[in-house]
Amino acid sequence: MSMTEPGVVEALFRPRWGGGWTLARVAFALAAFDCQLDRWWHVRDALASPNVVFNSGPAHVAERVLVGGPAAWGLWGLGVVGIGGLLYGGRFAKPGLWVWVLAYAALLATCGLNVRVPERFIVWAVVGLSLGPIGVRGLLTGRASPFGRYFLLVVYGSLYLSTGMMKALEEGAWWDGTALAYDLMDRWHAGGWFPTWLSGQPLLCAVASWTTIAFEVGFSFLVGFRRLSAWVLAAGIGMHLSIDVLMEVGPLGVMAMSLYPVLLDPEAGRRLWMRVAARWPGVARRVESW
Amino acid sequence: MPERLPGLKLFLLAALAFYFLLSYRVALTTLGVAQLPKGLPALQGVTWLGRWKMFTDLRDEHWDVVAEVQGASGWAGIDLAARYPLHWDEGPGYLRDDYYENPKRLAALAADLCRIPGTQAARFTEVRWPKTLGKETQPRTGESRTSLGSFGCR
Repeated sequence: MSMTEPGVVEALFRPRWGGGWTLARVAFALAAFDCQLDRWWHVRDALASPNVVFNSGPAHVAERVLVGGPAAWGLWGLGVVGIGGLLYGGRFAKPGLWVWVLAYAALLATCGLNVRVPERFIVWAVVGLSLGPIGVRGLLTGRASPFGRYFLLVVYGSLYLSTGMMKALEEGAWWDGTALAYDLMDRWHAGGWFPTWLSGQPLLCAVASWTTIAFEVGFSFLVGFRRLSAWVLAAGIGMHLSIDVLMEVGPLGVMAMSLYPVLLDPEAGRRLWMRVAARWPGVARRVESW
Repeated sequence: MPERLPGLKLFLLAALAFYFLLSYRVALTTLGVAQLPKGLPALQGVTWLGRWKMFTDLRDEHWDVVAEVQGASGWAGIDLAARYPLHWDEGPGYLRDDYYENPKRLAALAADLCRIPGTQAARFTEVRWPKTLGKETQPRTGESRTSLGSFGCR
């Protein structure tokens, strides 16, 4: 190897098409807004009264910090302002992202409830977006460092692989579909005629279970292949949309899908964008200024 | 522009992958399928952000928490859903196992029930009954009850 030839590490970090960051920033802002709208109905949960006891856990948060109505609505509104900054992009993108997530976290903290997987995922997503060039405009025709993408690939790989492995190796009821069938009858997560009907169809539940395990376990090993990348992510969209149709599991699905443009192989993404731009040049010119 | 400090970034990514691997290992212990790693309590705290347990175990039962308060005329049931209707996402907050399985939080709930005039004590019971697949109606047959605790009012 000559001195001018890049080494393996340098080649790994060679700048690549960065349009995925622009698309992911906008998609994540819309997902966050959807998440924020859901909170509208529950802002009063953040108030110290009447369910002050829920805040009286080991931390005794609300016994010392009482969030009244105006403060709770102020936090909610601040979150919306943050989302606006993220959506607008440029120098407002990263500050907007952090304003939203901190306002959201403050509302959640005043509830004193357990922080679940969706909220933990948001933390990783926000860090990943912060490592990426989301404040740079014109990336649909430009290049960017792949570091943030690698970070998100590790996060998503862990998310899918560990849940898939736990289902496949530790819970036999996932192999015959009964674990999924019973989840479809959850009093709070599920409900409605379709999940109820589906829970009584053993073969369909088994197929859905196998498909879920195959995607979750296969994701980490397949998403890196250029030719498979888009197909793997399409399978992920199918899985998350199916879950969202059948169950109410909070913002995890839309949040997870919103960052898929970054996970897509950059060269595959660039080619896809070129095809879109060739077909709808007017729309593409407008979007490229984001 | 060439990437700055690519070697360091690669190391950080490898460290992140190791962190998630460790988190997965700790998550297995919470399912009761692996030997406990040394220093588990500390590891559970450190890996909390990296554990992704979702719909993993078989949940073939519905559950509810029943509250009763003791007054001058004996024990009487309290409609917890009516008294604490608020919830952040799915279901009332008091029905999260993270909440009602925590004695400190349950004591706080009891303390609030003790504000009801004439209340001398409060007690809680977890009720479980099997889910019925494919049916809208979920008959509460085969119920099992577990006492969660009884709390005297000061």
